Amino acid sequence: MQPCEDRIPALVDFAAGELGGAERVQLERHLDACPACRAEVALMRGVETSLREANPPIDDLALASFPYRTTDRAEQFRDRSLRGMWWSLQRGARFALGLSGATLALSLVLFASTRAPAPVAQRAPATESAAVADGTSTTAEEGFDLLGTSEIHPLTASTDSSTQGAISDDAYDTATLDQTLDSLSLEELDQLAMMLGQSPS
Amino acid sequence: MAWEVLMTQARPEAAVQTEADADRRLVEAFRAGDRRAFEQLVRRHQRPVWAIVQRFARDRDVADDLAQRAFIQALERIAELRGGFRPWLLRIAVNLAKNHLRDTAKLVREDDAPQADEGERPQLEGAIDEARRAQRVRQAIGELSDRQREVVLLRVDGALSFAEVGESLGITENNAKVTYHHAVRRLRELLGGGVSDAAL
Repeated sequence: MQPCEDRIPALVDFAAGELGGAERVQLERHLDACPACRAEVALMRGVETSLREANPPIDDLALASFPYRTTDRAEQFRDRSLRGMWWSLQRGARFALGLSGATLALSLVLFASTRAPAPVAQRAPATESAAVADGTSTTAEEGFDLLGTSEIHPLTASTDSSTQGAISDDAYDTATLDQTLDSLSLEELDQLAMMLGQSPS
Repeated sequence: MAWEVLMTQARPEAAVQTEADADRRLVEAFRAGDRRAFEQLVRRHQRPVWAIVQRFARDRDVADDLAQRAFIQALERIAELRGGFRPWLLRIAVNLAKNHLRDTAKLVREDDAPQADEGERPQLEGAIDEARRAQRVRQAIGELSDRQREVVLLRVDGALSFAEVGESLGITENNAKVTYHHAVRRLRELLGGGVSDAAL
């Protein structure tokens, strides 16, 4: 015997004692006339009673201390989570420092490698013209010293004392750095910026 | 505070929202270091959590562990909370109970039942009958579909309204009632004569 499908939500509420007002009155009239729905209500109440009876009563003694024991465990969890976050932050900071150091070293190497051409290139026209003038020149490129060593190449050597200091290691100052950067192409500057962790132009 | 009372009387959903906010504030207070906030939260919701997990726990220690884990998981996943705290917490408890049931699926064998000396037999027979009945109900619940089991546990043990059951499971209130009805019919088939008689 199947209950009326459209009455099921109301039957469920009625069985639980949660149906009130006009809806309840209407359902009670229906139940008077429908044995299937009456049986369904009895079934639901019976099963629910069986379910409740089969669940042992809660131990009030255990429950009394439950909040304290649970909070102890929650504190351990919370503290572990905070320690985990702290160690992650530390690791992250160490990694960032290491990366910064490596980037700085690499950028210094790059500066050093790009430093030499600028002073040489800037002097090249003067020395070249001087060399051409006295007939002993080759092209300035032959005197191009990539590593910016202190050795003064004979072909690019200048007799001008004002520029002599510019090619020595001791004279690598801010002005020279600016000149070096100015001499880099946009592509080279972008690469340098990326190495330093900045976004390219 | 009086205004809150008036608001909750006028709009029941406002009462739920106020309670949900209060529960969230307790969690935040605990995370900021207020131990008593968490104790209060636990005290508010421990009974239905216990009722759900102990049905599937073989003993009190297991029930205690499952109940604690429900609160710890809720703390861990608090960012996922959208609606009311209790329906969400009880769903966590139901899932823990379900996993425990799956992990320990084993019939209570006859020789697992408590043995009695001659003098103690009458007292223990009742206890054995009760244990067996509980075991049969536990098995029957285990044979329901996942959704039916969730609805039954949240409703019967969690004492949630059908609206809250629906909220917990992401289904409509009507759907929760219909699912509950189907679950009850299925349990009736599984339990057979083990169902209490109830009159209208």
